[in-house]
Amino acid sequence: MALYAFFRLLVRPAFAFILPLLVVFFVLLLVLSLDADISPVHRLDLSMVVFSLVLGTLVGQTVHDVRYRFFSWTLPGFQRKLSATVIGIGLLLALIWAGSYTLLGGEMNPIAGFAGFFLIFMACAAMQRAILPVLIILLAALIWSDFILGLIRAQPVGWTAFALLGAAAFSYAGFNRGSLRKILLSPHLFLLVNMFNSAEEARATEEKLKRSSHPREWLRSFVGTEVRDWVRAVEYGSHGAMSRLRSKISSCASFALMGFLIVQPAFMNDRSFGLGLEHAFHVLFSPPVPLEAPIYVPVSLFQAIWATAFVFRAEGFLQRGWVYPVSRRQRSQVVYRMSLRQNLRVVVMFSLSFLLYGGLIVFLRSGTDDLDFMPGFFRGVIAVSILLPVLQWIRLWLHHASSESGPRQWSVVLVLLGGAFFAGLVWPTAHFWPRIFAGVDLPIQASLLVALALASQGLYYKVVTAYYQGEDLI
Amino acid sequence: MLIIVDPHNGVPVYRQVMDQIKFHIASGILKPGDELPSTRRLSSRLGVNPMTVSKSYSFLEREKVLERRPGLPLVVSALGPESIQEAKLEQLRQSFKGIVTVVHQLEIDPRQALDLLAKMLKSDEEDGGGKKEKLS
Amino acid sequence: MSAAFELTGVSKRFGAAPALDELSLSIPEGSVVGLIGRNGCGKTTLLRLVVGLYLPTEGHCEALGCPVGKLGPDELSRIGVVHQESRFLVWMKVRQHLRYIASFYKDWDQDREQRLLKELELDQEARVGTLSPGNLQKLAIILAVCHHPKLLLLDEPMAAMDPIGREKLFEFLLDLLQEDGNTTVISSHALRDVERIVDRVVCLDGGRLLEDTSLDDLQERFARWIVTSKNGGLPDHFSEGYVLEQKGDPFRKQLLVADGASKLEAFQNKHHLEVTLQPLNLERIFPLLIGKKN
Repeated sequence: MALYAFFRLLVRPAFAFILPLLVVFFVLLLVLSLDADISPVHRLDLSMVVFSLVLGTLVGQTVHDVRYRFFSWTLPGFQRKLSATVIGIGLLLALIWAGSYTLLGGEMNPIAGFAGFFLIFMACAAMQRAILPVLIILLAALIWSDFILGLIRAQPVGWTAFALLGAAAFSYAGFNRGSLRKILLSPHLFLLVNMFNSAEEARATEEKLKRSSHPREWLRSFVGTEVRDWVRAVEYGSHGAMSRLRSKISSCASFALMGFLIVQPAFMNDRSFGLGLEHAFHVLFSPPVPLEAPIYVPVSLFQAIWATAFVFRAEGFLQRGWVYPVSRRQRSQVVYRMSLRQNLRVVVMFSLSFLLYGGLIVFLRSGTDDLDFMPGFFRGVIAVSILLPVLQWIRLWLHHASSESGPRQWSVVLVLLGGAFFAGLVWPTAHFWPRIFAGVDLPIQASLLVALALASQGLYYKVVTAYYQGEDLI
Repeated sequence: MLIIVDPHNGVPVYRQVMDQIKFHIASGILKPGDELPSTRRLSSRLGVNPMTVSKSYSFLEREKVLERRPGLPLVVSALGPESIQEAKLEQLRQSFKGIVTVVHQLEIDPRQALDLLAKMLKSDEEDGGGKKEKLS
Repeated sequence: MSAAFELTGVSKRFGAAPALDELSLSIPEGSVVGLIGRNGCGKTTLLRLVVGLYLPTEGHCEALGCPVGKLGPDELSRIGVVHQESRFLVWMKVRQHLRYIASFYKDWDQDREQRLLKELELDQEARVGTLSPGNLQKLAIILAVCHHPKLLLLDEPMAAMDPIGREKLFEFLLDLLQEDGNTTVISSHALRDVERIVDRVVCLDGGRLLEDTSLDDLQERFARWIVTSKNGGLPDHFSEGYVLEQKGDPFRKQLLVADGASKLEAFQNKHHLEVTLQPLNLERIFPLLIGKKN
C-alpha cells in the first residue's frame, strides 16, 4: 500500500513532465558526443553527477511538498516510509550507474556510489534550508579535482562507506519527527498561510521574524497617482519584509557562488565542474566546436541560469485577489514598468559579473591564450535584452495558467528549462551573429540589434496590455 | 410515543427527555410494562448524543419510573393507582407554577383566579365532551 | 474509564507569551467534548499538543496513553484530525487524495468513504485545488474518519460549510459516535452546533482552563431570572454575588445568574418579588462564563 502512496506522490504533473525531459537531455548528451574526443567514462561521470543533483532536487521538492502539509503529521509511519523511498531511489540510481560503467567496459568507478548518495543528499537538502543545496553543489564541483578523485580511487571502499554514513546522517536529519515538526511550525510557513491560533502566537512569530529581518517602513500617507508610485508600492508589497541589507547579502551570495563556479576552471585542472558543464554545453549545442572553448561560454551559461532564476523568482505582479484602486490599463502599465526595472537590474548584474569575473580569469590566466572575452560580453548583453521579455512573457503566461498546482516544483523546472533555453540562445547568438553580419558595418549591426531589442520589448508590452484587458484578475 | 427535543432552548436535553417520558406515563400513553426504545435508537431518532439518552434513562431508573431487566429493554415500572395519580398531579403542579406567578404579578385576588379557572375547566369539559363524542 | 488524552500542568509558550498556562485536563474515553473559547484562547494550541505537533514547554501531555512526543504508528492510526487550515495536495483529484491517505492505514473503511462522499455530495473526480472552502472541509472530515479513529479531533470543522452540509455532517457525527464509540473533540465558535452533540464542555480563556464540566451541569447552573414588581419597587442594583448581569427598569428586570438555583427562595423572600425562570442555551451561557472570570 505504501508503494502506491509514493507512486502517487512522484507521478505528479510537473514531475512526470520533467523526468522524461531529463532522461532525453542526458541521452542526447551521450549520443551527440559519441564523435567527440571524450572518453565515455568521463562523459558518464559528468552526466551522472548532474543528473543525480537534478533528480535529487526534484525528489526533495516533492517530498518536502507533502511533508509540510498538516495532514501528514498524523499519518502513521509517514517519515519512515518516505525516507525509505528516497534512500531506495538513491540506491537504485547508484546501481544503474555502476551497471552503466561496467557496460562501457570501464573500471568500477566509486563515483557511481557517490551519485546515488548525491541524490539522497540533494533530496534531503532540498527539504532543509536553501544554503544546503548550495553546499552540495560545491561538494559536487570539488569532487572533480584530481586531489579528491585520487583519494577516492585510493580508498574506494572507505569513501563509499563515508558517503553511506553521510547519506544516513542526512536522511536522519531530514526525516526525523523533530525536523518535520519544525517545518510544520516554522514561522515563515505560518506567515504564508496566516494560520496563527492566537494573537500571542502571531506576535511571537512576528518578533522572531523581525529579529531576522527588518522590514522597511512605508512612509507615504498616499500612494500617489503615477505609474511609478504604484510600482514602488507593489515592490514594497512584495519585498518590503526583507531588509535592504538582507536582500543585498542574498544577491551577493548567489553572485559569489556563480563566481566560484566560473573562476574555478581558471585554476583547477580540466576535470573541474565548471569545465565539465562547459563541455556538456558544447556537446549539446555545437558538437563540432573543440573543447578549448572561449571562457565566456561557461560564464554566459551561468549567467543565463541566474537571469532566469531572477526573473522567475522575483514577484512582478500585483497581489492576487486584491482590489487596487487602479484601472486595468494602469495595472498593465505597472506590471510592464516592473519588468523593465527587472531587465535593467539583470543587465547591470550581468555586465558587472561578466566584467568582474572575466577580469579575474584574465588576471589568473595571464600568459595563456583565450583572453578575449569582451565580444562575449557584448553579445551576452544583447542576448539578455532581447530575450528577457520572452522569459517575462512565459512568466506572465504561467502566472495566468497556474492555479495552485505546485508552484514550487514548477519554478525549479522552469529555472532549469529556461536556463538551458536561454543559454542555448545566447550561444548561437554569440556564435553566428558575426558570421551573418560578416562584411556589414558595425553601426548597422548595432542599429539592427537595438531594433530587435525594441521590437521584443514592444511585443511584450502588447502582450501585457492585452492580458490585463481581457483576463480575469484572480 | 413522540418525544421532541430542542437542544437550543437551554433546558438540558436529558431533562427534556425525562420530562416528556414522565408526561407520557402520567397521561397513560406509556403504560406499566411498556418497553422503551434502546438508547441507540432513541438517540439517533432524536439526533442527540447517545450519552444524553442513557443519562435520562438512568435518572428515570433511579427515580423508579423505569425498570431495568438484565439483557432486556427498559420497561415502565408497574405503579399503583395512587402513584399514577401522584404523577399526574406533579405534572399539573409544574404547569401551575407559571400561572401562580402571573396571578401574583397581576395582583389578582386568588379567589377570582380560582373562579376563572373553574369556569374555563367547565366550558372546556363541555367542548371536550362534544369533541369526544364526535370522535367516537 | 481511562483517559483519551490527559494534560498535567501543561504550559506552552511562544517566546514569552504563554498560549497555554498550567493546564490540567483529562478527557475520558467516549466523551464528546466541545472546546470553546474566544479567538486566541489556546484551542488550536491544545489540539496541536494532543497530536504531538507542539511539545509542552512545561508539564506532561499524553494521548491514548502515550506521551505526545512519542506517538508512533500504532497510536497515530487511532487518531483522526481535521485541522483548521487543511492544505491538501491541490494537484490530486479527490479520489486520488483519498487513495493516497488511505494507503497509510491498514483498516481504511471504503464503504464509509463512499457513503460519506455520497451523503456530503463531494465529487470524486474534482481536483482538490478547485474545491470551495466548504468542500475542502468535507474532504478533510472524510480523510479523518475512514480509519475508525478512537480519538477524533476537529478544529473548526465546518466553519465554511453550508447549512445543509452541516446538518448532514451532524447526522454523520452522531452515527459515528454510535458505531465507533470514539472520543471526539470539536473546537468551534458555532455554539449552537456544539450544543447539539457534545456532552462535555471545555472552555479556555487566555490559555487557562475556565470550565471543564458536562453541558447539562452548565445549563443547570446558569439561568435568566425575570423579576417583576407591579409598583415599580425594584432596587437599582441587586448586590447578590450570583447575579452576573442585570438590566431593566424598576418594574421589570432581567438578571443573569450563576449557581443561583438553591438561593432562589431566599432571594424571593428577601425582596418579596416574583421570579420567572428561563433556561439559557450555550450561546448565552458563553459570555457569562467569560465575563464571570473578569
